[in-house]
Amino acid sequence: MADSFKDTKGKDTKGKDTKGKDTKDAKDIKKSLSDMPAEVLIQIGLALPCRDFGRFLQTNRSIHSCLDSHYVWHQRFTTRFGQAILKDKLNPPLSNNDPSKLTPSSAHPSPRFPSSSSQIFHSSSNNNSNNNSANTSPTLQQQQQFDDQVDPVSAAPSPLPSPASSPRMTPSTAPLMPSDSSSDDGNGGEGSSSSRAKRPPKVKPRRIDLRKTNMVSKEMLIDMYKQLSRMTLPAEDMMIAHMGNQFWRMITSTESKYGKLAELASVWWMDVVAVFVGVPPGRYKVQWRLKVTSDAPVVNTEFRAVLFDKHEDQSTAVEKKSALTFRPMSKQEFVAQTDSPGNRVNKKPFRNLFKGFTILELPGELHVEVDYQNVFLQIRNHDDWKSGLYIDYVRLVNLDDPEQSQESLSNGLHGKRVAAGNEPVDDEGEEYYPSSSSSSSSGPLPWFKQVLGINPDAGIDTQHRFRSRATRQFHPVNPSDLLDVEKGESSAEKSESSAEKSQLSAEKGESPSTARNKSNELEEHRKPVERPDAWYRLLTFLFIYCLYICFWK
Amino acid sequence: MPVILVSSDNQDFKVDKEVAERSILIKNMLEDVGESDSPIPLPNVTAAVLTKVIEYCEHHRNDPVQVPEETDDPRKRSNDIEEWDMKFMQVDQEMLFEIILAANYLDIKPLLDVGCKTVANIIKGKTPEEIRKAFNIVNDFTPEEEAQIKKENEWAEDR
Repeated sequence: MADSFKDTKGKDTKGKDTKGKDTKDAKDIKKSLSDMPAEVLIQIGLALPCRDFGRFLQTNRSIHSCLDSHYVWHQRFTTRFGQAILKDKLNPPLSNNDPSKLTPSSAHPSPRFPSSSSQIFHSSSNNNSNNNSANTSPTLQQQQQFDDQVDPVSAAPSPLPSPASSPRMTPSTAPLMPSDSSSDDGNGGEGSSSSRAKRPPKVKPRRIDLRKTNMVSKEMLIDMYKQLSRMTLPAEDMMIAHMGNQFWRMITSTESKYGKLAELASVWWMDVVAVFVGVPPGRYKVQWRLKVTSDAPVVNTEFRAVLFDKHEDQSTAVEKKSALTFRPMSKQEFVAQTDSPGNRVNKKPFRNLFKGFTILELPGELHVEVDYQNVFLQIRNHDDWKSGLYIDYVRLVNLDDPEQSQESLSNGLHGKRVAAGNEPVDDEGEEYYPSSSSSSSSGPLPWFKQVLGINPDAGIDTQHRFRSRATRQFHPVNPSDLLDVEKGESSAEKSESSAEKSQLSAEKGESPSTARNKSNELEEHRKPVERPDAWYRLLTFLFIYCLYICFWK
Repeated sequence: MPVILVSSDNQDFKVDKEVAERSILIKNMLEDVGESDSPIPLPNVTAAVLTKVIEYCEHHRNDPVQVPEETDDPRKRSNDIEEWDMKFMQVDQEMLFEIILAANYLDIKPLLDVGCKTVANIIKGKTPEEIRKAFNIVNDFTPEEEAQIKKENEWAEDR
């Protein structure tokens, strides 16, 4: 008994010790954020911006499993983009479920304004993401085995449904119907994979039901989130009036990291629209990456930005007051907002002001306040024909983000302007005279220089500029030289002609010595490569330069 | 009418009913108890933490009660914290976690929101390793898992 008492006493003390240890351990455990209750972690996760949320997911297994869930992604999605975008996915299907009605026609694109309730997404959700397609398709296929509504045809991985030249943002024709959980057809998700002309018409649309909380619907939500949260929109995802015919066209190009450019052939009604959805609060700069070969599409063109609330009708964008607007009335005004050095704007051809692509940054800042908003960007010019414009992308640069704000031209203006990939034209102050380094060994110009003996880099010697004509020496241009006849032959001809002349003079009674002198004089005159008159050189070079531009460029 | 709250370390706190009812848990308890003056035990909350919670409730006693249907108000979803709340939350990390846990237990949503936003503001701008260091989180991923999750969430870096 005493032993048992002792034992119990010992146990008690041990219990107390363990209790102390427990409280100490409990305190230690509670100190770690990963041990917080799930609802607390979810609240913290929902309060984080996208980038920090992604980083928070990478910290710990329990945090990842708690936050990388359908519920959290759904909450994040609706907080940022609104519930309306998901309306089509959450409602039961139409009675006339004809995919062709739901897909916009690509034949006659015209400026379309996205309505918040109608964004149609291609339903091969995992294949929207280039990164995850390889990793998640096997998982997807396994999940699809448990999903009644999976169409076995669509279970095969489908090609990446990148948006066509006119993005698929058309008003939905679906009447709103109350969701009926009893009739679980699983057709709440409509995803047409047959909107592109290139796809085979027999592919059935994959139907994913977002009302179900499973891996498939979660992946779809994440893919939709990725697609909508982009801060850079390529030209392919813009709405360009008259795209797809002889006015505008999408071309493949290695000059763009997206592989495609919108090329303006020639158009009167120029209207380009890009819409960013769910832009977080903050200050932004709007940047367009463009290539301009003519000032017509940019001078007197309005570049504007309009802010919309999530539930606001965006079809009023045309009339709504712009948050930012820029209408350059001159070339200088346009160039001042780009990353071009902007030297001698009026003295150079417009296309030579930008070596390739340029970044146009709209003056002023876009302020998104308090809540997520949609940003509507537009380039419009409805007067006169214009051509010579290539669009790569448009992006929003967040000035509140220290990592992104350096991309703004206003933060590194001079440095960016020089280092933006536009080579400074080193013409040493002489207009239209390219330096020898820039045109050293290519093109017909060096050949002309060699043949004509013109050295444009040599400055005009002021001492000799006004020499008398008698003292100037000139190089007789032999047309046969321009035809690339060997100089040996020409000189032989000349010597023959001089010999003939000497013979003639001899026949005329002149002494051979005088004839010889004359021939000597002629030979002296034919001493090669004496510099021609400066003005003659200037005019000749201008002519050659024009030929060079016409044929070489 | 005063209400007596008892912390886990048996300390009594006398507060007005209006202040106490900022906690939905206490409000429900009081409705169940009726007109009785019996103290309400709070075994999961220590005295130090309860002091802070009562201080918060006293300051916000006149705030309108949040209804779940009104959470669409963007100002409520904003990550901005009031100046007083910011100063209120300038405590050590242990106390911060305790306040959050107490707010979660007592079901005081505004206090929970402020606490979570405070933690979110600490997390912002940090790499995963820095977050682990700041909050004493153990990295229990294998290197392969860590690499895969990093790759899966790479897209979020510029969003």
